[in-house]
Amino acid sequence: MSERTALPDVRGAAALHTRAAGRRRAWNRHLLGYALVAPLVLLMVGVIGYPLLNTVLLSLRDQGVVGSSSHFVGLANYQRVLGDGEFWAAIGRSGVWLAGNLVVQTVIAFATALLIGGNGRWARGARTWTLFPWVIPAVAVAVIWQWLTNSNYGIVPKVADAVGVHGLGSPFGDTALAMPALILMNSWHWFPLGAVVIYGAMRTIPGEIYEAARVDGASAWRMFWRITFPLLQPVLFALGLVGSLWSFNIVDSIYLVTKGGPVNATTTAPVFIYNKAFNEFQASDAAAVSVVTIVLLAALAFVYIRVARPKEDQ
Amino acid sequence: MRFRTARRVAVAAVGLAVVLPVTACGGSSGPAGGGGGNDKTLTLWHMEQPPNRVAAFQKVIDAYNATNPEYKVKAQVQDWNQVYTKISSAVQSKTQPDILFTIPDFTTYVRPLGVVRPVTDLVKELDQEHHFVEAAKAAYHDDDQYWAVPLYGMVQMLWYRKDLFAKAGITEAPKTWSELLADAKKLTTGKQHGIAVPAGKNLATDQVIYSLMLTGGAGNFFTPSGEVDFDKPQAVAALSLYAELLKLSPSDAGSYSWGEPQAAFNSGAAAMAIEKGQYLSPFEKESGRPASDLGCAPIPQADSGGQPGSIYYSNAAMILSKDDARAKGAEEFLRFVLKPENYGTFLNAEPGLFLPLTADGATAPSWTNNEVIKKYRGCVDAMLEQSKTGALFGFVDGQYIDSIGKISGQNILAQVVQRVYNNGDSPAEAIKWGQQKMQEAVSR
Amino acid sequence: MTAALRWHRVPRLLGMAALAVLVLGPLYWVTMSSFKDREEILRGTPTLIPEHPTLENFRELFTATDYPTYLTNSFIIAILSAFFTMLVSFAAAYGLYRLRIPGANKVAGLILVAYMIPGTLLLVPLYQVFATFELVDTRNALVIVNVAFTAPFCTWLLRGFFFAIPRDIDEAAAVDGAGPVRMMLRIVLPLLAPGMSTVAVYTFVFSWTEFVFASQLLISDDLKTLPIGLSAIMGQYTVNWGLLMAGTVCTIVPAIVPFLFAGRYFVGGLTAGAVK
Repeated sequence: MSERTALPDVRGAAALHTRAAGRRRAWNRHLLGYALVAPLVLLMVGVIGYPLLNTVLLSLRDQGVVGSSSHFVGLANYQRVLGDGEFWAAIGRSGVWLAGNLVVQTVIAFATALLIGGNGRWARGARTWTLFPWVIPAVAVAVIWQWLTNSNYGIVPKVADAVGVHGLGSPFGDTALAMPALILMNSWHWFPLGAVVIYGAMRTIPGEIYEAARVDGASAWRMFWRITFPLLQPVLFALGLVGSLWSFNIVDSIYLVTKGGPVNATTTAPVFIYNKAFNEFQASDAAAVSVVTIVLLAALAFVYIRVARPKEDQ
Repeated sequence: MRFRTARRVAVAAVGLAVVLPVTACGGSSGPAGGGGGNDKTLTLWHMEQPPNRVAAFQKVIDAYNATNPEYKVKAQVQDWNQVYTKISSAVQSKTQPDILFTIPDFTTYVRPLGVVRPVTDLVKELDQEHHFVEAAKAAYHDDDQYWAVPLYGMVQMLWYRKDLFAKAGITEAPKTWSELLADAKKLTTGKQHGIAVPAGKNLATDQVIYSLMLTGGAGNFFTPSGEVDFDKPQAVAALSLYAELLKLSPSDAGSYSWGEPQAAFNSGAAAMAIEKGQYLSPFEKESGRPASDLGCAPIPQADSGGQPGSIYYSNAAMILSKDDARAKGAEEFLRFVLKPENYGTFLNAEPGLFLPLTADGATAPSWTNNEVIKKYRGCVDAMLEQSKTGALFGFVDGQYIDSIGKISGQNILAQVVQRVYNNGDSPAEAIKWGQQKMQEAVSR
Repeated sequence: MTAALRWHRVPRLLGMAALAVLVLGPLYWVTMSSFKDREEILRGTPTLIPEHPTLENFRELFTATDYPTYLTNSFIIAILSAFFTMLVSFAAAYGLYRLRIPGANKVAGLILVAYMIPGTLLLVPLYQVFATFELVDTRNALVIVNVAFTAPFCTWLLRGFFFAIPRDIDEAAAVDGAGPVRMMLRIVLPLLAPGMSTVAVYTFVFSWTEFVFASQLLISDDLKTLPIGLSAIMGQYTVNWGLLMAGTVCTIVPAIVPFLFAGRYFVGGLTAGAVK
């Protein structure tokens, strides 16, 4: 804020006045800023923070049926949880779930983004209908895919039959196939979001870069790896981070279809927590598992940010 | 100066943005939602969600409300998957419903929350007037008190396609396990499967395997003192039979619940199924075949040491009202439901599936005049007969195992089946695992 | 020349076909089945087009179930959620990224942590909180939950948009004598239209498909939303497949409506936010 003064000996006082006014303006601006951020913070504290606190406190007690009376037992639940093989198995499965979803969704989303990036009628229409799987509630997705793959009336086994692959049935009842099938089903549900993000990001890459590369004789593949991919790093980083966190905590898509079975093949950490709390009636155990899971996730996110953060400052 | 007013405006706007969602638009039923709100309205929670059931129950409720009772009844339909958390939350915030429909294991879950009122006098009175089936009451009898009023029963039968049987040259329904297996093998040709039994991790699997355990003599999982006694040779035998039946079922039985075996049965992809009475009502419409093609028989018994039986689910109503006057109102409603002239309307929410569990209910015209009941009179009578030997694990022979909810909640029986079917465990190993799992569940 | 062109096109055409089959195939099948009678749906040899097309399933959906009620509730909750999320996230993003109050990075970190929490155990404590404020069994409770779950992400999303708007506008406006609020509402907000559309559509879809909390917090039948209604059709012990198909179709179709309005912005919008 520059302030013009006529006389040199007034400049000092004027400067002081300016600085004070500036500070006051800054303080007012900060107040406005805090007021604007307040609703978000309040919501998060109330809807997420308080239940989280409740969970942490619960993990130190011995509550059985959710809501029943309990006593303080300190860290006993944590000791049990950390030594429970099934818990670590669930974490392992969560890792598989996470990696699987990340890879499949990214690949499909990228491929889709490339396909819908045209100017023709097909591309423009595709930009709308590609979003449909995302708009369907998880309940419907579960129903549709179980129904489509049923060996008796499902269309997928019938089509497979026609091309020579016989004897297919619903993969959700098979220990080896259930997890991959669920990953595919979940990816079908969520890939449109990633596709749209990547598509938009690709649109911001100026066409001249590609033109120049083409003149230099670069193939499509090389252009993709040398131009597109690196320029999309920030987007992919962000998408990967948030997308992974969301994926990790998905319960309904898995539970509605297999309830974690068969023989725990699809019991990821959130499903494990749900089972513990509401089917085994061990609310405090479930709380302890939740806390440990959050800590693990936070550590993972920290590592991810350190390692994968693109060079430009976030 | 402008800054200050601007700031005030900003703060006010933001404050409004927080307050608006909480108070203004959006509509609500307000605090009356969970129960106890409106002074003269009792809330009733039931979990029979399909539209036809909701409509039928509503009819009975409307008829009751039309008699101008002191307390009117309002139904709020819940989801079985959600009701466990909902009832805990509701009880904690003192907004629980006045009447809560239940099944035996759900009652063991709700009772520790401390709001279930004993209904011994009412049950005794109704028993005198209508004569309950013993199995119906037994599942709610503990500590010399009755904790719920039985309302409708469900029992399993062996369903079979008479047309497919005729084609394979089988004239009679199987009566023993070896006959069952033999028939199923004979009927498995080409795209047709002899039988369709479920192996998903769900209640459907629990129920079917349990019926076979009962007829194999392994229906009681507990010693008289309440210890887990699941690991028995008879249980292993039942599981072995089930594994054989699964081999003859469609290949993706591992994901089956209630809908899939029924769909297979109705489309002719499977010739037999073991289930409750829900097979009656949609049979003609879904299979395109006449009603005479639907056959029913008691569940086959083990060749030796077997006994007649089937899983029996007594569905009842608990009263959770906070004060005595409301509880009396709730009792009035339950009396109304069990009266023969109203009982039929109630049961025909799902004709054939919901069975009367009173003597005068079984002969009530309001029930027997229903299309489906008339058409399948033979099977209905067979089910009523089977009810007499019905039982439910945890409540066998007058038992009352408090922690049974933890066993059914985790679908331990289904998990045992999956260990054999999916994991390749031997039946003996799987049963041992089941024993251990049940002990863990019960001990904590 | 033509030969080279055709070679290039084959993978692309294959991809387009695959995408169409993958996305539209299942939806087509579900829609066709909703017009079939119960026997035809279960047939071992499926029919691509219904033999005796019937509207019976839809008739049952509209008369026997409370579908119109569910639809209305879903719309009301989704639109309210979208509106309030726009409000909250715009305000927060403005404060964080425009007014540059200290702690912006900490808030970003907080947002990340919020999404790490498994939702399961939030159910019961949240119910208690709402019960204390007598908000159980109200649409408002769901709106609050939806806004709480989407606003953090949307705030973070708007960040990129804010960076795209040059600071000189602030300066110019200040010289013109505009107060901060005026600047915020009259000048910056309109420039953020694509971003706000994105936020609105994202929140709408989130609310539309949200099932777990809706099922937990709503008790009365006249407040239930579409996912709850759909799951109710799959009752215990038996499934009315025709009704289920019709219900699924009628859950998807209305959600397409907002895309017809704001779809263009949404697709363009998600990008700019994430790029920066």
